[in-house]
Amino acid sequence: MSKYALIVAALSVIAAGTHLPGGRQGPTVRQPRQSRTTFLEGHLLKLGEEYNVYFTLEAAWEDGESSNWMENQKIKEAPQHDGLQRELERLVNSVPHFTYAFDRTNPRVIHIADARLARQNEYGLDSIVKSIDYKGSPAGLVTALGAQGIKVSAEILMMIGDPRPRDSGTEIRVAGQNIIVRDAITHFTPLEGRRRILWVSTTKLAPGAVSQIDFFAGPKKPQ
Amino acid sequence: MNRSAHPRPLTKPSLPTILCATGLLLALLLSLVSAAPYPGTPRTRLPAAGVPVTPQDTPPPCCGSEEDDQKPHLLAASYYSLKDGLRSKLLLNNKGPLPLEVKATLFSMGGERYEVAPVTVEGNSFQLLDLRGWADAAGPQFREGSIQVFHLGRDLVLGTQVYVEDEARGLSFEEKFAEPATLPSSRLRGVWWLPSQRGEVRLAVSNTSDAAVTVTAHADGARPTRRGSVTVELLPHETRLLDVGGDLFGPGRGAMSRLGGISVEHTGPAGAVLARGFARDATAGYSLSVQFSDPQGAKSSAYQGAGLRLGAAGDEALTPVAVAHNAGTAEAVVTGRLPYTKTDGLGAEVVLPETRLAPGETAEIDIAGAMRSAGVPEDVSGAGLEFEYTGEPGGVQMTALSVGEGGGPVFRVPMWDVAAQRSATGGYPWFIEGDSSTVVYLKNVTALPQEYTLQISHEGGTYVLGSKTVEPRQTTVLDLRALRDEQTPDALGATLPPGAARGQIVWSVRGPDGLAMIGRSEQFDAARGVSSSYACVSCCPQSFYSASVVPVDVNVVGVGATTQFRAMQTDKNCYGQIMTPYPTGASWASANNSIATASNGAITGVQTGTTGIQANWTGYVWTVRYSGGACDSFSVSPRPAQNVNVASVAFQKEDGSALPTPLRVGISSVKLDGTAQNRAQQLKALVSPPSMAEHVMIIGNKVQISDRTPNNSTGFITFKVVGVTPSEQPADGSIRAEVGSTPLRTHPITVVVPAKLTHDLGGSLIIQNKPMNVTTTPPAVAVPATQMLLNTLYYKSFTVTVKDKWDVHVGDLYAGAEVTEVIGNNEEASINSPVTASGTFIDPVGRIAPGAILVPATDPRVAAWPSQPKLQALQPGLCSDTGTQNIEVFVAGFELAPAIARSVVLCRNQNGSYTLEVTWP
Repeated sequence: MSKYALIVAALSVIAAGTHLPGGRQGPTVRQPRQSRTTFLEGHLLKLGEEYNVYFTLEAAWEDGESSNWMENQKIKEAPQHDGLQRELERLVNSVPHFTYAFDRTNPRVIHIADARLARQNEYGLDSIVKSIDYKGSPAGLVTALGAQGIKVSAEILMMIGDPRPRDSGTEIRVAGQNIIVRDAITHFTPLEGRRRILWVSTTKLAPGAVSQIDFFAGPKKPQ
Repeated sequence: MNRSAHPRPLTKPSLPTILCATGLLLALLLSLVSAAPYPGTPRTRLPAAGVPVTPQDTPPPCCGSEEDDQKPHLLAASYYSLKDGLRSKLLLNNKGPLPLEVKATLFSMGGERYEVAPVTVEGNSFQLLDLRGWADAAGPQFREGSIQVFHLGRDLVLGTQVYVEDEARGLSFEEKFAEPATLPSSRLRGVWWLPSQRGEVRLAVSNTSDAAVTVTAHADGARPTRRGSVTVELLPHETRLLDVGGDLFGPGRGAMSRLGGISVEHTGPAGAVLARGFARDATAGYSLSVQFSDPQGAKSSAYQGAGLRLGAAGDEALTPVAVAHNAGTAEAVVTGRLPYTKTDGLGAEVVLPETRLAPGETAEIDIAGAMRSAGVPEDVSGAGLEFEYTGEPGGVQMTALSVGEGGGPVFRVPMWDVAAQRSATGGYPWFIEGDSSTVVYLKNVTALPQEYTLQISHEGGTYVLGSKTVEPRQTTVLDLRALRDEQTPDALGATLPPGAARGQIVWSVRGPDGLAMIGRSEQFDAARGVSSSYACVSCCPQSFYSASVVPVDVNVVGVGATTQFRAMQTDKNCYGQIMTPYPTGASWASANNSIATASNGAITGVQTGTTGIQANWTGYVWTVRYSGGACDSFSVSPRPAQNVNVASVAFQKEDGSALPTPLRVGISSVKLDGTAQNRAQQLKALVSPPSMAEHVMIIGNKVQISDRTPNNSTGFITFKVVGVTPSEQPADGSIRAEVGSTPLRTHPITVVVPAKLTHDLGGSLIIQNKPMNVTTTPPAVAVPATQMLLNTLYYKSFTVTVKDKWDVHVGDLYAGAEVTEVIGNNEEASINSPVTASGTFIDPVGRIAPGAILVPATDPRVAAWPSQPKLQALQPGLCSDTGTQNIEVFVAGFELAPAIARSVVLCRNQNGSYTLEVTWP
């Protein structure tokens, strides 16, 4: 048993992103297109489906870079189906600053991170929450953590048209002491039915920068 | 020019005859105007002939001499054998349309008779029978002997030939049956040639009569010179096989003469004895049939031959050989030519050396040397032969052949006394078996171009070569295997089926000269190196029977357009068979040149309306005026007519306005939700004259035509057109109005699809409270219609213009089309902002403030939300950069290129105001 107690209650799941635009039935239905270009985000989604694992993505950027460069990194090779470890090693070699680590308590979760974050002082997701007892949405959890002085924020400025389903309805409960923020925002929501990328944090590589965390809901299900 | 061999004085016609002929002529004219079959009567006449003629080399007694389906014909051949590894086959070739019952009789060498069960040969077919079965049934004495066949029918309707083959040695001898009753005397003459003195010549003499005869055979040999005779008594139907070297020259008198002539005389009535020679050098695989003819049947002092092979056969280089024998009592001078066709199609000829022959002398004419001297190109593969000689007709006998260097294969060229021919026609069996095939040679024996018709029957129908022309003195060659394998189309566009393997070839001269051509077929087995020749004429050339004018497609042409018509002639052969119609050359005229003109069958529309067009040419009808007579011809002038409609078509828009050039059309599509979006345009075609509307079809290229509705009263055809295949070049599609395959009007079309976009600067920043879900504009695609996300948007509204690949605005072609996007690796989704009638769509570009509230779609807060305080996107003094967003855009499912790559920076000033910068190249 860990040194901190966990009380996880997924009281209800009302994911704002479980709907498919209707009516795609019958012979006249055309299949929605997929992009011919594979970006890192899409590649991770494929690996997640193939190996039944989930990812978190801790992106970093500095002046002169796009804040979402890692998500939009183009991947030339499709999955090779030769094992998750080898697939990830290929990404280490092809995506700048790409690192990965299996979650200590749940190996079905892999944390992807920009290696440069290791040098980030007061990096929000490495911070430790001394004590928390929270019940509410995932974004509210982050806001609560921010209120404790941890440099995280859930105030995400979405792009108009961004189709990724955000988790605005899952109610979670987090209670315990001395919890690492990364674990707190990862371990207290059930995995099944969720998007293969649980959340993305974006951090500017600058002193005192706040990490903005974007939670995703599960994939859309056909009606 | 007419070559009927037996002119007879014209008799003064009686009055009833004149009246009858006049009536028939009137009937003929009426029938020709209506293009009905011709009943037949002469208008101009050619010199008549008296008795049946006999070709020098192979007499034509394969046929009879009277148009009578019940006329008896007895045909005979001198020799067959199944001994010493020989095989004998009997060809029965029925050129008429009616079945023939053929009764064959085998005679042993001693004259014993064996009647064979009757064989029925169906009309226009042939049978090739192995004599082994009959001989086995008849008894061992019938393994060698002679054969006769009997049938009822018209003259020359049955062609009969016996083949004696030695397959092991590659030897083949053929003998066409003679009708003994038609031979004019008791003399027969033949010529042989051997490649070396090792060869031998056997002579078969056969008594075809029921009485004993005495036969004297005399041979004059050369190289070395040898002479000799033998007299034998032949009992009724007895056959004797003589060795020219041993029996005529006498045993032990030295080497065999390489060439020479043989004369056979007998004491019986004309035709009582038949003779056949077999020249062979078995070690070299050489075999040559020595054909005998009755010199009294000769009608001229000239010979012609068709199809002398030159060059090589397979790997064997061929040497041409011609041999002349003077059987007369005075010196004879032989002159000749070798006409050939060069590969450029032009005719040329080699003059052969003059040869003087003393009485009884035989000499070889140096064709190869003359060809070398004349510089005949090596790629010339065939030629004709023409010889004249001094002295009485029949005084000189000739044979010609091409022979391989080693002695085989041998291609014999029958030499014909053209004036003694019955008609310039032929009917041959053809078959392709293994490596064997049939080749037909047709030679123009005159100094004028000659027309002929030819058709080939096969298991599946008829191949109509139609009317062809052969240049003066030239020879045309038809290789059946090449014709089939190369799928050469006939005059009507049909081809011989790839599997066609047998049938009949029928040809006839087409003109006033009934003896203007000669022809034969040759069967050559390349693997065995064996060939045989066959020729069988019909009693008369084919006659004109009926005429018509037919459109190649339909009798409609557009104004300014041209369509092709054909003048078609149908012939009837002398056995009553109606031949397959074939196109013929004609003079053309239009009844009204202001509506359509006619020239060489090409009908060109001038203005709308209907006019008659008429073709006119000369046909020939052949008759036999009296029993045993030759063929007479008279000309007819068929003038068949046909109406042609000249139509015009104008394409219009639905409102009657003219179509733009090119007309731009879009392609229908299906939205993501399955809703079909039909982009068919309603158009009209105005047809003049209106009555043609129902016959006019609208054909699309790169487009689909539907809902065609013709109205014969108004002339309008309404239809819909929609794109199917995007254009690669402007105006590379079309709509075409046509009747049959005759185009009346074509209008160019460009099938347009969305391909590119341009956009404006997006205007000023808009900050707006907006309830959003999957159905709103802009959408929140992850929010179902039952819920609503209460957002505050910070955006600029861009107007995007959709263009085609040529940077041309798509206009209203895609009005209402769904615009979809693929962002990153997310699924394609609609932006709920369809293309407008002006070919644009609105694209809001910006950010959504955090803090949105998800509520049921029916929640009263939804309606109140636009007027509520706005959510702040940023703290004062901060900016937010989206980074590059990769967006693939589709309109009606067509991807626009390049994809969008844009970034958005939203900033909040210290005073609380916002700025939005969109970087969108």
